Amino acid sequence: MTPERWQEIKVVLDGALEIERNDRAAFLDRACAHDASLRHEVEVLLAADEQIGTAFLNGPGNFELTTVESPIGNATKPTDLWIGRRIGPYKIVERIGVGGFGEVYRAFRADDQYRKEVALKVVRGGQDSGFVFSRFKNERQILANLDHPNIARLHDGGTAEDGVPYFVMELIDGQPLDQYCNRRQLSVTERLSLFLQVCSAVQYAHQRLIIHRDIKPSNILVTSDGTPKLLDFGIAKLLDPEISTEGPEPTLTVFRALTPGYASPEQVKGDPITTASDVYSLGVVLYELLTGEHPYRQLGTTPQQIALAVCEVEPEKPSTVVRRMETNRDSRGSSSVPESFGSSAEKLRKRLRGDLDNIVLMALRKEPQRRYASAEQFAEDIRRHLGSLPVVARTDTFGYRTSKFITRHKAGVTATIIVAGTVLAGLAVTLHEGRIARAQQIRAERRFDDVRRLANSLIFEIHDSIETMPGATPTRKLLLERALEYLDSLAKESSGDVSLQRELAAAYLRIGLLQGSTLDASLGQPHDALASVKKAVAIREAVVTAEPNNASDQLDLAIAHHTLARMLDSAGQPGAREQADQALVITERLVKAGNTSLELLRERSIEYELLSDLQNGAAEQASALDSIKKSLAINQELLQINPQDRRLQRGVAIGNVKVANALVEMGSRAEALQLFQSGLDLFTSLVKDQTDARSRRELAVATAFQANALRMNGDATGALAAHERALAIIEPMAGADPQNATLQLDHAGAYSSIGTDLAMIGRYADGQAAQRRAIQIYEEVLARNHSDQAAPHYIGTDEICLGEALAKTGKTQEALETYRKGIARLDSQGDDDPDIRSEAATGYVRLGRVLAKLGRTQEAADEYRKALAIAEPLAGAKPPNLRALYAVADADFGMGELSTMAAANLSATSVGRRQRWAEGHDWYSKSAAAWGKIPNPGAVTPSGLPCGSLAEVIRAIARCNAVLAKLGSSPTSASNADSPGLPANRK
Amino acid sequence: MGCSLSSDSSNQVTVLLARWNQGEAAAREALVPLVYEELRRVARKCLAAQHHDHTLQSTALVHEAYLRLVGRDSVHWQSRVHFFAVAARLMRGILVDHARKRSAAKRGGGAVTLVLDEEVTLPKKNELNLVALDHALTCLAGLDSRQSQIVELRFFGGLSIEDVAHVLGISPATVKREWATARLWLHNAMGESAAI
Repeated sequence: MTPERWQEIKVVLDGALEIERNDRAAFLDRACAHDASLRHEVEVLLAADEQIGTAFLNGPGNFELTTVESPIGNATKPTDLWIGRRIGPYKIVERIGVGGFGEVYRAFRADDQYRKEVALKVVRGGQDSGFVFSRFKNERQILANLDHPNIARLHDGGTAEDGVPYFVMELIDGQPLDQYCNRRQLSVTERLSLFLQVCSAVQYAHQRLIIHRDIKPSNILVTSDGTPKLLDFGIAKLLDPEISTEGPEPTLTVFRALTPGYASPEQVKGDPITTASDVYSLGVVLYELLTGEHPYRQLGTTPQQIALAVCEVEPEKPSTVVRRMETNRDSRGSSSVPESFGSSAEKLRKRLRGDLDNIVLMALRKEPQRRYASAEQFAEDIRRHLGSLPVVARTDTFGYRTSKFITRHKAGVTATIIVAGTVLAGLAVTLHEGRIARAQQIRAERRFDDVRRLANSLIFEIHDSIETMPGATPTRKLLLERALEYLDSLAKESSGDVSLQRELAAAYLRIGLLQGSTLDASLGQPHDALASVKKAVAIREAVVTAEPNNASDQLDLAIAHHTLARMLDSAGQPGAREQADQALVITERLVKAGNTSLELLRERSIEYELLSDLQNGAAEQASALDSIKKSLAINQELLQINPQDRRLQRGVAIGNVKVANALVEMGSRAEALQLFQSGLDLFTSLVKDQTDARSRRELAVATAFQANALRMNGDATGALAAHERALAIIEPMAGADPQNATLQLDHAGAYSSIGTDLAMIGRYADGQAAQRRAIQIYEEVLARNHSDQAAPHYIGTDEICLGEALAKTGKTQEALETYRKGIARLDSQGDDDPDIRSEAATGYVRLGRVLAKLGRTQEAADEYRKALAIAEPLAGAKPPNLRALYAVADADFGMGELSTMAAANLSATSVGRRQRWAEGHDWYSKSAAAWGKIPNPGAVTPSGLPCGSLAEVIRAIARCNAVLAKLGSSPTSASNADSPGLPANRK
Repeated sequence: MGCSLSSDSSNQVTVLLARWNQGEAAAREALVPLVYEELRRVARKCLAAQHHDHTLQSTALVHEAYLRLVGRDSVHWQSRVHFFAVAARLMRGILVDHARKRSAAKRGGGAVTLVLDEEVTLPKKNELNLVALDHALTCLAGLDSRQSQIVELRFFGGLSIEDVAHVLGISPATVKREWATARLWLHNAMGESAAI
């Protein structure tokens, strides 16, 4: 958009905003009569007017420190606006239908030369788009891997620019199953064979633990070549908690994403959903295919009536339905269902009677455990029927029916069941095992104790059982929200009840931890997490006050303190140190009182490690090393006593790596490298039989730490090999989860490090390629999210590394540009972070070096001065910034080079010549002084940026001394009385 | 950066405001560092005390800084508006920096990427929307710098429509119109930047 265009748009927009919404279209007709794209632009903004709350940017500018009110509205744009639009890479062509959750469009990938057509489903308004999308992110890989000839492939998904979620699926040109069968007058056998294909698709998904949840004829399209394709696998689950189904089926909000006519009793009641739930829906589909009638629809039309019937009424036998319909037709003379079978009613009835009646009714049983256990068993029985073999399905016994009748009337609380079930429906749905029997306890009554028990089981048992399940994040998030509601209501009544308070505190702490979890970015709600953990601390303090002699309560309080400290620190909020100190004071007291439990000592080790991190953050490197050593020592001691304890093994591994990191910061790289190796050996053995994402990422992170130390130590080949090992771990993880920014940054970081390593061993072209790959990944992260702050910083440092590689290969001009880009990127961080500022200073130094080589000495001097202006104050701080020291050392050296170059250009007799050499000597000496402050300088800076070396400075000083001696005068200048040839403070 | 503000700089601010009000552009330049330092200080104090349950109220901060620098009754209305106009720009910078700084992860030894406590994982930094707003505002400035400024004054400085009109020397009706269309534009632009 150009500024001129924006002015035009504004004029029309102003006009449109002045008038009533209903009159706007007519106004736009006139105002944009000859400019359709102007109209489109205005319409897009007017659509925003309808979505935008009055709160957006209005009011007093309240900022939560962690969040600003979400700018994304939930309302969907008017339908016509979608056509012709581009959503992500897809261009929308036309609307081809309205699905259960929104419109379906024909679209094609605009960036694909084959222009392959796809179905793009827009999720209609009302739901929390972020929620749907984060679910989708978690499910995408699983769903995209469903590769079966009878399942429509899910290709992609995302949110449109206005926040509306969409899914991209294989475009199926076909008819709904029931229409297809009836229009072609397929026989019962033909229908069954189509149905068997549908069963095989469902079975295929069930083997991958994916339940469809919304099987119905309109979700099964039959292509012209007679292949049935099941649509929308997994979509119902993605949309479950927020959607009310609309469209052809009746609507009932409590049913959420299910379609009442096809939902199983357990879905209606909000009980756990299993593969048997899909069997039930398949049963309804088959019932309709064989009779032309829905098993319950004649019993009512409202969703409530159908729901009641689904739970309470046994459906008629299919053969009975056919007979009844035939009788009705005789009396009414209407068209007959059997005609659509190309058969007579009598023949149809006989065909259905017996096996098929039993098979269909077995699939439709109320109790999941009494149905076919799987789609495969269902299909097998149909095949046995087709092969004239005895089928498994049998008529219900009289005894069963009687007991069923009694139960039905005794319970009589269907409405209650539905209401209570709905509360848990969202979390129950993904729990397809019987593990959550406890959750069902809520169904009976909502008594206080039940709720309390439920909240605990939600937080501890259910969460744990699904924690490692891929794609469980949305459920976990919902679970957290629900659980917090319970807890807050419980907390109000908890005073004086210590045991309840203990439970509450544990629950708040657990929830806080889950909210604060980064491994599940979509759960990450630091503000809420802190609030929950603070509640836990407060409650545990109250408990300790009430029962001061209970050691276990005190340990719990210490745990709450250290957890809060960790969270405050990573959220960048003050107060972490105080919390950590409180935790240490408590456990110290417990240890002194003679407590030596494993849990207490582990807690001590965790507290020392936390303290070390906090000290590190406060640049107290020596104390940090001391603390992390204490932590490691405790874990080592405990591991000797409990050698099989995996937590302790991990503790020792982490301790080794972190002690090593602290040693690297202090310059003791040789010792560090040994510890890295011990840590990595332990991590490797841990990962061997533990394949969760956390362990693998930890191994990769530790490997990268080791590699950085190797590189600083000058072992670029070893560093390269280690960085490649880290990349090998991270790359598949990043590939599997392209939306996970943390993994993408890890991924880019690995490439960037490899690029630096390659440049160091002289493989400049490969190095450049790796750096460019890193920058590309960072830029992708940035493109997805302009506001990602880590990315510009990383890109900046990478560009400086890339500039270095370019300069080395003689691409001088490109090198200069790349350095400048990198510096600008770091500057644009608008950040006074000393490390980032120092990296910018390094950029200026490298730029100066290249300019000096080109003979552009004046410009070079300017760049060095810029570097010094930034780095000198940071290097002079107490304690000095390590990265700034490197920049100062190199900038001073560069200035020295400029002086001596200038001297060399002057005639031998020039008076200025000696002065230049003296100046050079001064600069070199300053550089040497800076090097002297760096403990055990590395071959690169700690950020992996290029740097010079003390050796070259010493050589330069020696050269100056030699020349000055020849010129017959003392080299010392007025300002510097240090003895020549040696750096000032290296005695 | 002392803990309390010397009366010198307070007087200085009053003088500078008066001079600026009389049309001296250099006075504005001289004001910036003083106001900036004070705003940062107030913001830091607010963060440290965890006021408002971690909510940083930009306009409240600007007011507090104003009271500290200028006092309650010493300067007339026009000077106050000018002060707020300066403060709005600075406040934007401070808030966005704050958001950025906290989300700027570090590479290398300083980063806490391994944590012993298996329970604790590091919270996701989520203050991105403020940065997205900043980005969108910068884009808007490219299309219409006055409009971007209006948003800055209103949103980060807490100035009323009338105050903004006064600062920019335009009519309140214009401010209102520009504000309305800017909101829509920003809303759309930010939606885009937030979409993946």
